[in-house]
Amino acid sequence: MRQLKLFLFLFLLFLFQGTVMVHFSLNNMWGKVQMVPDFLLVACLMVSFFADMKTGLQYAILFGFLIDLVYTSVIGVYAFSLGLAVYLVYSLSKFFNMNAATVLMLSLIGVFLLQTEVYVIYSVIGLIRQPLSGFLQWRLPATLALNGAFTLIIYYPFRSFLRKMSEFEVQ
Amino acid sequence: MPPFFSNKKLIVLLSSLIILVALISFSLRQSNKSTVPEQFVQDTVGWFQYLMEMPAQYAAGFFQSVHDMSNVYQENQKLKENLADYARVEQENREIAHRYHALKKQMNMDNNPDLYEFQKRTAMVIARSYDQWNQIVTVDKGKKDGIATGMPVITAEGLVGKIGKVGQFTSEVSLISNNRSINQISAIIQNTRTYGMIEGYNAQKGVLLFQKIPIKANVKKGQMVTTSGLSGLYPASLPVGKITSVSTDQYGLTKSAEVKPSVDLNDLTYVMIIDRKAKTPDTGGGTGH
Repeated sequence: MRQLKLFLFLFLLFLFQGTVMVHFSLNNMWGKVQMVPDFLLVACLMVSFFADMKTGLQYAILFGFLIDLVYTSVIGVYAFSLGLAVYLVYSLSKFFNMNAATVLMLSLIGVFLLQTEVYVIYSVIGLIRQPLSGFLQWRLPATLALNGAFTLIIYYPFRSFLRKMSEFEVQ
Repeated sequence: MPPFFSNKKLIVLLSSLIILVALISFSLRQSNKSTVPEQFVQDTVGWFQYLMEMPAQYAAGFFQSVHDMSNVYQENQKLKENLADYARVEQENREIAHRYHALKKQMNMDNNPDLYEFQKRTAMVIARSYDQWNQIVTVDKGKKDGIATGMPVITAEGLVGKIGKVGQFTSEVSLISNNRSINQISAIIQNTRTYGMIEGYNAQKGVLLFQKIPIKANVKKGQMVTTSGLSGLYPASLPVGKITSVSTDQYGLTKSAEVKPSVDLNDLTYVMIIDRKAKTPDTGGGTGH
């Protein structure tokens, strides 16, 4: 039951990124600033921290493929990048005690990794022609800020949900 | 301290890299044809997206209207002025249309479709790729509504893009700001005989690159650029944008200009999909149909 709820929550985030968030993040008042929601990655990271690494990785790859199919024209890039980002950040998380500050820091590292991976792959296959300075100056700071805020908002409710889920499975 | 990558994990990483490269080359090659599972995923997700987008658009529309309320008075004044002119323009338009059809009949060209004639289908935008690198929006019309790959998409203001992948009930529009979608739009400067090609998009400045304009042409800032109707894809005289700056190209043989799109590509809610009547011979390359 809780697994189903988790899936539905992630699916809602997936829809949310491409519908509601777009009205907000593509607003002309931001000018050149690109503010990209990576809420799915943040949620998958928290699943891997507080519930189970394997579940987090599976969902990251599954929803990565969905993102590729629905929102992009090249299959595989987001699936690979999301999976790798979740795995690397999870490996890093073993060195830290989990609290709001470290989770915020780790998810920012995750967002940075994901953005960089996709930027590199897309640049290599010639899908985008964004100069590196534009990426660093206009895209990364705003994206990190947006996703950091999202992490802090969902941190307490989502953590307690995940803890209950993993306890429930142990019993 | 546990190692980041053991041998087994290295193998997993390498094989997933190989899969990634295979998938990328697969999707780059078959660009606009979508397989059955792809269509299925696109349509299923599209249904949920539709449910989520409806209230979002209402909310966004509400805030927009509140914002608009502040300049209602000036707008009303302007509209009244325009309206006074409208009756005269309409009468003139009707007369010209009548004369045009009469002349066409005299020339025995009655059944030849015009370069600018087309049929419109309205579609609602239900989702958009959020990463701003892929400039793709999803609309709620698909194969069942007679949509096919390569059809041009416009709004009332001008050209938006063309249809990419088509599902049964939804389809993807790749916008003119998408670097991959531009395979050269043949364009003309309005009220002149100056032709050129739209050949790319500069995302930083938000302008289209209008190139291969003859060096002797008199190109000025502020001129309107429309489609020429000469390529196999787009009907004639769809507004593309306004020229914002003119320069000579790197070899000094032709002129090139920057064109600001007349449509606000960041704010799309409803679009029109065009089925053009005139078929021009396919010039090779491109999507052709």
